[in-house]
Amino acid sequence: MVSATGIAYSYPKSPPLFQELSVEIEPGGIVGLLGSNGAGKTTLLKLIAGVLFPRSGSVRLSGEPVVPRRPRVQAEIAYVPEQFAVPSVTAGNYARWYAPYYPRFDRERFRDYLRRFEVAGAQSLPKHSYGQQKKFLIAFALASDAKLVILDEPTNGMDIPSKQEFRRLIVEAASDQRTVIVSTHQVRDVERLIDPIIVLEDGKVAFKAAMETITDGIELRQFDAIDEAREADALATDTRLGQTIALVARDATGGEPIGGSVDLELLFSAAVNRPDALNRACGGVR
Amino acid sequence: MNHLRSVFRHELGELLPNLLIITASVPAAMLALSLLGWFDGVNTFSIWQVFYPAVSIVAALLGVGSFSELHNAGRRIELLLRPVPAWTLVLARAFSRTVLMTAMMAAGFSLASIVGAGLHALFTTPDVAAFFAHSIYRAEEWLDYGRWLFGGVFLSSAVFTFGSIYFRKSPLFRTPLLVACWGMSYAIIAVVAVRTIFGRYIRDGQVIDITLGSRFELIFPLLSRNHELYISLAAIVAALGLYALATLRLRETEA
Repeated sequence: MVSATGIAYSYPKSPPLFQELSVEIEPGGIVGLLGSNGAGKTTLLKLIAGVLFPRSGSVRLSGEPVVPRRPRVQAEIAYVPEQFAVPSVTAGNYARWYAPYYPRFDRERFRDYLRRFEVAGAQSLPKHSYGQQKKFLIAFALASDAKLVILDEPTNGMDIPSKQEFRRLIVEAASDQRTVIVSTHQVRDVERLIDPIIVLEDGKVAFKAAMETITDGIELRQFDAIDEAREADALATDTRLGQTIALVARDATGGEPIGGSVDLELLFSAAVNRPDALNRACGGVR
Repeated sequence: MNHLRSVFRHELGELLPNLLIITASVPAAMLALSLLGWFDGVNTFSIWQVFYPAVSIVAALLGVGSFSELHNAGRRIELLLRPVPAWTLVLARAFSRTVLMTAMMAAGFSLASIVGAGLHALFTTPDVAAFFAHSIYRAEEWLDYGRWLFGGVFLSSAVFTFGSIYFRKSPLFRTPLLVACWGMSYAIIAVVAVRTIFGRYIRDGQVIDITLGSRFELIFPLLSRNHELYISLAAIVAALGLYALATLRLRETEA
């Protein structure tokens, strides 16, 4: 679906952010793009969307280069940036003017998404709150039926019910032929949603793996003390309600396994601090 | 064609409400001012006298509006990623902010003239009403308007469109600066050309060699006899160049 090969990029008058960055994203699924502040998540999304052009290397969507921007390729990308602006129009007029750019735009689905997000269609968009505007743009992006939907910090500004609805909509919208890339700091909002996971750190892919591979290779365990977790070569640790929780390789000894899904915060911490050990444990790709 | 239709519909949809308000209110205000003159007795003040400045002000307002619109990073990204050819975006902006705007202003002024003529016919003398009515359809004036539209409004709109698209940062400052630099460089080149190339034909500001004029007319007959046409053509060429640069910029990266 998305193939970024040997990308080099630097902002004017700044040191290089990416040098020889390569990442492959297979069709289908909800890709989680995680990373610390300044790791290059938004820049990578902009390079994939075609807003920024790499200094060298290329980005392709279904085999077609994203740069130069061609209408045919752009119609298959729906990008909701973190910083956005909405024109002074109602939801209805927005759809009337923007929908024709996307040949498979589904108006019925758009109306349904707006209803479920509880976004009023008759009100002028700038009069909505930031969260409402974001929900509106996400609803439009999903209804566009573009092959690639890119959401940068989608849950920022959303209330708790909206986040729940967002998760439901994303799951519904993703298909075998359609990829949704979600970049976020709010990992709890996308827990049990994203698969695969890509972690960017210092302009490089520190970790990339499918959820199945991750759960096959590592697990969450509870330890009596942090030293005990260290002895078990824990990849990442945290203390919650007085208990030491650690992410460890399945073949490690010690601790009591805790059921449930992988803790994304600990996974992210492991990807940033011990990328080699994490990749060894669960067969991730760097 | 589908792209062009979508872009035009979008552009008109966004601009038309504001344009309708402006093109209705400006001629109405002018008509009201002309009617106020009746208190001092009937005058033949034609609202068309303020047509040029009114259109210039509206063109400038629309231009400044596009500066603030495209200064917003989110709006800029939306425009860059709109899945249509860049030239269609520029063409739609150029059309709506020049031809459509001037046509709507002319329609507004025509309507105001008709209303003025009707009021005069009812309350004053038919002669004055006839003057008002006559001012609407004088062919030579329409030709002047047309030339002025393409020579002036088209160029100023091109400068605004170019500046708003080309300069991501401080377009309101950089665009006038660029225009001032162009003007100065043109003046400097003109002065240098007069002093070095044509200096021997000029003394104390007067052309001293009459053959220069005749040769000039021989070589550039169209130019020497149709000075205004030359200026209009030059403005159109400059405007097209600016629109072309704006189109190329829309195909570039955001950074």
